[in-house]
Amino acid sequence: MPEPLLVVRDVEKHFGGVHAIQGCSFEVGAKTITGLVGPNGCGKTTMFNLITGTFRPDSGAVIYAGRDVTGLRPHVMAQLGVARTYQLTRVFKSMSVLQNLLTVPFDQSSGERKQWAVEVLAAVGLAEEADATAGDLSFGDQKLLEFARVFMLHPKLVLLDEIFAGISPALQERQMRVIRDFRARLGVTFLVVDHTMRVIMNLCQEVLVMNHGQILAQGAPAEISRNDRVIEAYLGNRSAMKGVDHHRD
Amino acid sequence: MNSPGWSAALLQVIVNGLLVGGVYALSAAGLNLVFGVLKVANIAHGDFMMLGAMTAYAVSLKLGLSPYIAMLVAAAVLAGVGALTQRFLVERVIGSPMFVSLLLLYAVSMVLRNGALQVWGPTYVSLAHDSTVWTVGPLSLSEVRVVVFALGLGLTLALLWLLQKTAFGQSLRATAQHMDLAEACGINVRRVRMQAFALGTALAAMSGALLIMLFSVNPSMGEVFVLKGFAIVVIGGLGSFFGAFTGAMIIGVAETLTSFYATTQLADVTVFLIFLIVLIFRPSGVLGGRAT
Repeated sequence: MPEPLLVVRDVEKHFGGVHAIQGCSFEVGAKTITGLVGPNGCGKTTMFNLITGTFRPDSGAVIYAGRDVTGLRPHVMAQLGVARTYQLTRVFKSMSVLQNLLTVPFDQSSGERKQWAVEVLAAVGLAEEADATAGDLSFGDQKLLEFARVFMLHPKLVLLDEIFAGISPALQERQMRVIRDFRARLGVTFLVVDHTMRVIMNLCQEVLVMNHGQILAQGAPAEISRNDRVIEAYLGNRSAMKGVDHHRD
Repeated sequence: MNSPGWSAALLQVIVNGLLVGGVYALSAAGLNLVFGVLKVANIAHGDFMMLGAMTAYAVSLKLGLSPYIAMLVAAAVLAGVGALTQRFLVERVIGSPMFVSLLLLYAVSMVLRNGALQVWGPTYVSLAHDSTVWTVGPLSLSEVRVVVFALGLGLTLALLWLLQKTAFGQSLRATAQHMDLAEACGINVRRVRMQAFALGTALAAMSGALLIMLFSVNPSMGEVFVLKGFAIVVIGGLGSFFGAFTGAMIIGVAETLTSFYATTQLADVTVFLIFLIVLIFRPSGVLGGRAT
C-alpha cells in the first residue's frame, strides 16, 4: 500500500446516547481511489463529517498529509485541500453554474481561476450550462455541478458521498472517467462512499467496509467480495456482488 | 383645489419625502444585509443608528468636524461596536431558533438605549444647519437634503456593487445562500458573519448620522426606527435590496405627506398602516420578494 495521505486513528463519536463511531481506524493511500461501503446508518457520512471538521471526534485522531488535523474547522480543511460532496446535493441555487465554481476562493488570479472552472465544467460535461442558474438544473446536473465544485479547491483528497446514486449509467461512466483522469493527471486521492457495487468494484483499488461505526474489513475489491464477514454483515447474499446495484431505500 | 399652489406644494412634499427616503434606504440595506447573511433579525438596529447619530453629534461638536467627516467617524466606531457585538454575543446563538437571537438583540438594544439615556439624557440633538436653498422650477431644494439623499443613495449603491462585484461580496452571498456549503468551499463563515454584522451596524450609524443633519433625535429614537426599518424591508420584500430601496421611498413619501396634510403624530400611523396593508395583500413585498 502506498504512503497514506489520510490516517484515521481510534476515532470515537457519540450523539447523545448513540455511539455512531466506535474506535474506527483506517488509512487511505495517497493517489488511490478507495471505496467506503457499509449498510445504511453504519457511520460513513459521519466519518466524512469527522474528517472534514464538520464534527469534532470525542477522541482519537485524524492525520492528513502527515499533520494532525483533528478538530480543525471545515473551511481550514478545505483550504488544506480536502474537498467533499454531500449525499443531499448542495449548490448555491440562485447563482449561475460558473459563479458556483468561482465562489470557491483559491490563491489564483481571477483569469486562471475562470480558465480552470471552464476546464472542470468541460471535464464533467457541464460546459454548455455554464451560464444557467444552478437551481434550474436537473437533479443529475446539480450532482455534476457539485462534483465539479470539489476540483476548484485543487484538492489533494476528495470525499465523494454517493455521487453515483440515482443517475444514469452513462453519467456514472463519465464521473468514473473524470475520477480516474484527475487521479492519473493530478495525483488526486479519492475516498468514495457509494451503494452502487458495480462502480465501487470497478473504480477502487482498495475497499473499506464499515459496520456499526467500525471498520469490518479492508482489501482489494476481489478480496472483499469473497470475505464472508462482509457478505454476512452487509450484502446478505452473494448475488449482490455480481453487479447488482444496491440502492438506498 | 386645482390652483397651481396646491399641486406645487404636493410635488414639494413628495420630493422631500423621496429625499428622506435615501436615508431610510441606507438603514434598511444594513438590516437586510445582516438578515441575509446571519439569518438574524437585528432588533438593535435602530439603537445602532442612534449610537451612530450620537457619536457623529459628539464628534462634530467636540472636535469641530464637519457633519460628513463625523459620519465617517461614527461609521468606523460603530463597525467596531458591531464586530464585537457579533463576535462575543450574536455568534453564540447562530443556528439557534430565531427567538433566541431576538431575545439576545433585544437585550443589546435595552443596554444601548438606556446606556445612552444615562450618558446623554433624554434631550434631543441635531446637526441641522442652515443651508443654501436651490430653486428648481416650482421646487425649492435645500442643499443639505439633496446632499444627504445623494450620500444615502450613493452608499446604498456602493453596497450593492460590493455585494455583486467583489470577492468579498461573493463570499457574503455564498454564506447567505448556504452557510455549510460556503464553509466546505473554504470560506471562513465566522469571519464573514462578523464582517457582515460590522458592515450592517456601520450602515446604521451612517444613516443615523445623516438623519440628524435633517431632524433632531434623542436616545430613544431606536424604538421607532427599528420598526420603521423592518416595515421598509418587509414592504420591499425581505432580502431584496431593490425592494428595500422602493420601500424606503414609499415610507419617506407617506411620512412627509401625512405630516404635511395631517399631523406629524400621525406619520408613524400611516407607515404602519401601509406595512399592514402590504402584509395582507402582498405578503412577499411590493416587488414580489425577488432576491438579489
